[in-house]
Amino acid sequence: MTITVCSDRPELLEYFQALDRSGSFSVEQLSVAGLDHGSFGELCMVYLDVAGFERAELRRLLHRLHSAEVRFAILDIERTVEDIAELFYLGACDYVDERVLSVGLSNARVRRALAFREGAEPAATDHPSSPAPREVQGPMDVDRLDWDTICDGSEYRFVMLYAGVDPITGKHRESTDRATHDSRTAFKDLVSRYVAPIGGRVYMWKEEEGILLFPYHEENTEPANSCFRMMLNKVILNADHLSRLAPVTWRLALHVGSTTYRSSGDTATVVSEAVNHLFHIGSGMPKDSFYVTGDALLLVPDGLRPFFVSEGSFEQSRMYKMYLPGS
Amino acid sequence: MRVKARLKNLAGRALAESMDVKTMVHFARRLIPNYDLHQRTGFPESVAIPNKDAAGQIVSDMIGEECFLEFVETLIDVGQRGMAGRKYRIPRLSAIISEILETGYVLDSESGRFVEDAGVRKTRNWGVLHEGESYVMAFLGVDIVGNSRLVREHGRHAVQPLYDQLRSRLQLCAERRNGRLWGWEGDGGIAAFAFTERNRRAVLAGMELLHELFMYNALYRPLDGGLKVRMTVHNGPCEYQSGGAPYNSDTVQRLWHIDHEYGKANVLTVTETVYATIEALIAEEFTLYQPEPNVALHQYWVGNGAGR
Repeated sequence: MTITVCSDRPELLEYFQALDRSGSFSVEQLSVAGLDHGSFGELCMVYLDVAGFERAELRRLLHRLHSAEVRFAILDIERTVEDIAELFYLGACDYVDERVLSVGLSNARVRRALAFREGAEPAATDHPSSPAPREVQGPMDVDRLDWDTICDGSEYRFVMLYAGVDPITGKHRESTDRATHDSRTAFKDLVSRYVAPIGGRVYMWKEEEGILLFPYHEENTEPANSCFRMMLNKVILNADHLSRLAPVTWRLALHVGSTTYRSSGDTATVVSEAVNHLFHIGSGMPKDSFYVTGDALLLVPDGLRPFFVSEGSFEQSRMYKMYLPGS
Repeated sequence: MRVKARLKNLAGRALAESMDVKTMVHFARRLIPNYDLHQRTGFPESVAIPNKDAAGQIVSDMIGEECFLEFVETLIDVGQRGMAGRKYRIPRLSAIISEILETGYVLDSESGRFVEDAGVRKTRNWGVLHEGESYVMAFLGVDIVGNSRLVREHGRHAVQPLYDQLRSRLQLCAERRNGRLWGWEGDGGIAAFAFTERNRRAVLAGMELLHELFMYNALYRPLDGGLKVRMTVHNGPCEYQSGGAPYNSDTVQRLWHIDHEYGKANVLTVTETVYATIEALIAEEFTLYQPEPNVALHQYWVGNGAGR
């Protein structure tokens, strides 16, 4: 996708070079006059530098962009815009000032901006009454969380993984019960070991299902990669670690949400909307499946996105199901 | 293998306490044909050799001939199944086995052989295969599709790092299942698997490599259409050569023949003899492919069996 940086200051392009290098976006520059007088037909996503614009002039240009269904974000380096909310009423999908630029524009942020605009389209909103995801203040504002910066008892935003082992069915109750017990233990062990190298930790676990946490940051694609691999390697993992006879299957769901961090085994008093939501998702999922919520989809690398298909909404989340190629 | 004095002593005592000298010689000839104890010890033919001296000499000779591990394996076998119709109780066997395990070997339960513990040491012959001897093994062959075209279109400098990546992933997938990379030549290579469940381990390594390649192509999108490989698993006898891949072995030649004739891009092809030994859980992922009436192969690709 092409990002057009609309500014008369060539030095601004430097802030977009990382996006260009990532290969996910190609970045070009266009003068403000070029934008104002040209056709919008070829534009995909515009970052408009608003320095020097009169308010009325800016409103007029934003109206035109919005009418032409061009996705646009505002670059306000000098923070001259007085009413930032108005920009969003006029159709902007992101607001970038000097503070944002100083930490760098990430792929994930641009994707979120694009998704924000798509989500605002009436056709894409299945449940208009669904509440918007709650923004949490405090420690979650840290740009790149890792376990060293996470303290017991504080609330953070995490990438959350629901993992549940599917029940084993059989003719003989006794052997089925034993197999079920064995598979639960082995599965918990497998998932914990599988995600440990990428910073995943068991948060809570009850019998056949649990939640694992990964430190959240906008470019943390590892949990999604790892879950994808786990689904792909189902037979291999069974053969190597679980059962050679009756294959054990599992359900995975990835979500982004906030919760108070407590070490595993000390989470009985934790109250978290996101955790409850994820358990609801997990309990309603079909056997042998992997779902991501809309928020977590932003953490799925571009190359794996085609394997996720929208499956409508559940509670407040849009849901996407992974389909193996060829299925 | 370097045998410590304590282990040598234990083995000598176990042998001396479990059988008479005549039986010991018979036992030694299982490993060293025409073994002549009198000649080795220097005792005249007319003089009886004491048990302890005979056992000590045999153990020293086994170490000298580099077949100490086979000696202990045979000792275990005799302790379990007897020899020439007679049962023998071999004392100190568990202590001997423990000593060997501590030096970085594991006892392969099916074959009853000591093999290297992959977590401790990885050598090309698992520490036990002998130069020039033939062993039944399984091989996983990997061959990059359209190598010449890729080099022509993208240049050697662009494709070489990708090939190196593939090589190291093949090595990783093989070694994770106690296989060994036995050769890599430019655009493909071969991994060998020996001992218990060699076929199963070779197949699983191939499947995992195919999945890794799928992820690599999806995430990094190399070379426009991605990197494509053919993979084949075949088994059979093969002479161990320390110097390089056994490309002159019939088994390996057959593997490459199957690869070139019937292999497909990003497909793992498994021959009938391999397929017949893998458990149903894995076998169900494969689809029968009969390119000719007398050729039965089984193929797997990412997504094959999805939804089953």
